Amino acid sequence: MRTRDQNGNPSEKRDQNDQPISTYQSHALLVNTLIGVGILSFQRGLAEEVGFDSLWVILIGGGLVWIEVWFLTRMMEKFPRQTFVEVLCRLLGSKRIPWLGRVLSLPFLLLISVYWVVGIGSVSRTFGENVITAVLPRTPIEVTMLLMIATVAVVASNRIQTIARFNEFLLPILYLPIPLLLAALIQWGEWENILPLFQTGWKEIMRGAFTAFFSYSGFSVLFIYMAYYQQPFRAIRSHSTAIGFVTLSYWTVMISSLFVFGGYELPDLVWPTLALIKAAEIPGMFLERLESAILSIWVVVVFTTMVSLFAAWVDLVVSVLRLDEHWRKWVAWGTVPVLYLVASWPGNLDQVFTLNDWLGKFEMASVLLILLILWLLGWIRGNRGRNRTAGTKNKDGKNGGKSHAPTSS
Amino acid sequence: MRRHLRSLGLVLLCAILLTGCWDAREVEERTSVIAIGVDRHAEGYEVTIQVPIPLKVVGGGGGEGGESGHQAVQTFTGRGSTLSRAIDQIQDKVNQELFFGHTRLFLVGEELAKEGIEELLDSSRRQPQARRRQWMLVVKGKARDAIESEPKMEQIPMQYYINMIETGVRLGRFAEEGLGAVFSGLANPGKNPVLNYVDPKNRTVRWAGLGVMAKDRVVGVLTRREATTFLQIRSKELGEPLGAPCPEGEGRLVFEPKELTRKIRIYSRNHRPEIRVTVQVKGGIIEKTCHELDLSKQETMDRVTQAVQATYQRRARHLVKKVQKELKADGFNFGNHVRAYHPDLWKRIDWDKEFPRMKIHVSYDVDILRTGLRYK
Repeated sequence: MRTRDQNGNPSEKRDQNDQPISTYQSHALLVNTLIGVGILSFQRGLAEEVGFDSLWVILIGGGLVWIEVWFLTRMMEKFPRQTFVEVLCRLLGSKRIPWLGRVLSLPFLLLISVYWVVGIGSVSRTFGENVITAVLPRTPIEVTMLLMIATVAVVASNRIQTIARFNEFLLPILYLPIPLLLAALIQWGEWENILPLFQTGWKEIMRGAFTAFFSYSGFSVLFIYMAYYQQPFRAIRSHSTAIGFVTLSYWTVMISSLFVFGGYELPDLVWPTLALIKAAEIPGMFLERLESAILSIWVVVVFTTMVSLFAAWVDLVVSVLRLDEHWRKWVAWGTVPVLYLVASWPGNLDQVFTLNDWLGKFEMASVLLILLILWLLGWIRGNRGRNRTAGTKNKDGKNGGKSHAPTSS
Repeated sequence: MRRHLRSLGLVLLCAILLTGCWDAREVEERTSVIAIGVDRHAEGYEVTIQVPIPLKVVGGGGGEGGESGHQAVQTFTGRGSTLSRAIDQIQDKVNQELFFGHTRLFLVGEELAKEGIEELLDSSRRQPQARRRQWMLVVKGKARDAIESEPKMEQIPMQYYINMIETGVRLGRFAEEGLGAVFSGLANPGKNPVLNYVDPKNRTVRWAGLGVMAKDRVVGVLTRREATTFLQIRSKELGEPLGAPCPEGEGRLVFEPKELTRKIRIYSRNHRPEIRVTVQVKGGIIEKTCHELDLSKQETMDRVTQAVQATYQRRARHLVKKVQKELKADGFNFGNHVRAYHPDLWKRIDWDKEFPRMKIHVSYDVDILRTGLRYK
């Protein structure tokens, strides 16, 4: 049903609310967005801060992110079918001066745009650095980065619903490397390597959890994507399972790395996950060098993160400037040079990691700020907002899952 | 439909055109190194590598079969101030690009191993081609001699070494320590690596014990007999069968361990650690040359068990003394247990100073389950 809708006539201009994002798609979207380049190296930074306690500090990081996503979801489900761009414009604007809202919301939009644009650039740079040191030492990093960015631009110029389907399709690939991690764990793991626990002070633990934010970053795209949800008021569950799944994945990677390398060797490894894969040996398997194969899976993982961020950025620009659908392509391609510049900006690997670290915290802070603003505005302009919300919510609730069927013909 | 065909065509075109990449090196375009040997040299290091000759290494098929020994491989030597400089010198002598992704063996000459290998290992950590699964061995004499030795059983001499080590590890007689274990032993303050020690002769090679390390330096070699007890305490390996004197009369008994559990208990007495190790061994008698002994009787078996136990314990006492007083390096990795399970104690003491003078008590608990096909 859904695919037929999609293939019908993609060029036709339609109401953007048709073929909305299903609950599973929203789960896939969030998982794919959060799991990105962080999975390649988050263990090192964490082990540097909290050593053996990284084992559970990574869970604290996930918990904090979950809290923020919970607030975000609760906030955005009050405004179904609207991106935060529209919400901000409306809440900040007035009827008499129509352009006021857009101008006033610009600083906040800019804040999150900075995260998205710098994020895409830094993700492609991090991945490029990984590829160049680990498997393709002679391929210039510029080529790897540009190819990634350009391919992402092609995908990201699609409509949000297409992006969601794209994520739904790619999600299972994420599971493929897990057996290898476990193989390494079984072959090399030592109990003593994860002990002792609970040796670090609260200050370090908080710093460690903050460091972990980058691996969980990207959830701010929900500000855009939730507008396309079929049942936004059901999103809390799919978002929670997504965060849970991501946390579990990171925890699996963390515990495997700790078991194999221990808290002392981990800070010395630039790409611990890759080292882990390299250490794994599958009995009876002739192929010894699996890291290239695994890295091609990670291309997908990294790719989906970039696509999510990029599509969110494109959607933001399109809705701020009130552009037509076909403008998405031009916005995407117009951003490519900027992304490339951002990607080539850090001078060395250490700066890349510092930038990533900073990005994770920046996203947490700016999402928090925007949520606060939205909440304050909603409270101040309470009456009008409440009436509207109530209306939409009811309508939506009645129609449930089939609401899009009549409109999609 | 036509649109679909067009996009399919585009995808295929991309797939065909975009496959070329900078890093494509075909298998036949590289020289795969199977083993590296490193010795101390006036210039820094002397590196010897062994490379299988692909044409000569034929796995059975066809009428001819492959050639073996040094007809199937070639060795190259290079010198330089660092490992990679020495390898660069070898590169000048080789027809293809050297490739270390399939290297399985890393041999270190005794002299170099005693000086320390920390600097030597840097490139193995830095370069993506090196693998943690490589076996690392200390060679009595020069590593170069090992690479030039010619065991006959395998086409590739170094494969003989690898198989030998892997067999010994499977039987629980050799230390299961490769590059990965060395890395982790060097990084972890509670651990010390231990390397298998081999003695190459012209046509043969002999596993001659274990090189115990204090961090990156080999500080002493344990004999075959000591190694068994050492591995039982350090890593719960079975070790080789044990010969014990008969409880009465002439002759010997040979006990083969089949199952082994080990417990390490750490006590803190007057703020100083004390270690008690209990090793439980179950196994059978595989040979007996004492005639008077009747193994079918329970009381004889008790005495035999006592004898085996006493032999194990005597050896453990000697070993602990040697490791503590002579080597002065915690090869048992007790420090790692203290670090993991008693972090407060660990923080209070300087382990390297404490280890040689602390009390270590090892006790064995032997259980003889079977005596083989003979009744008495």
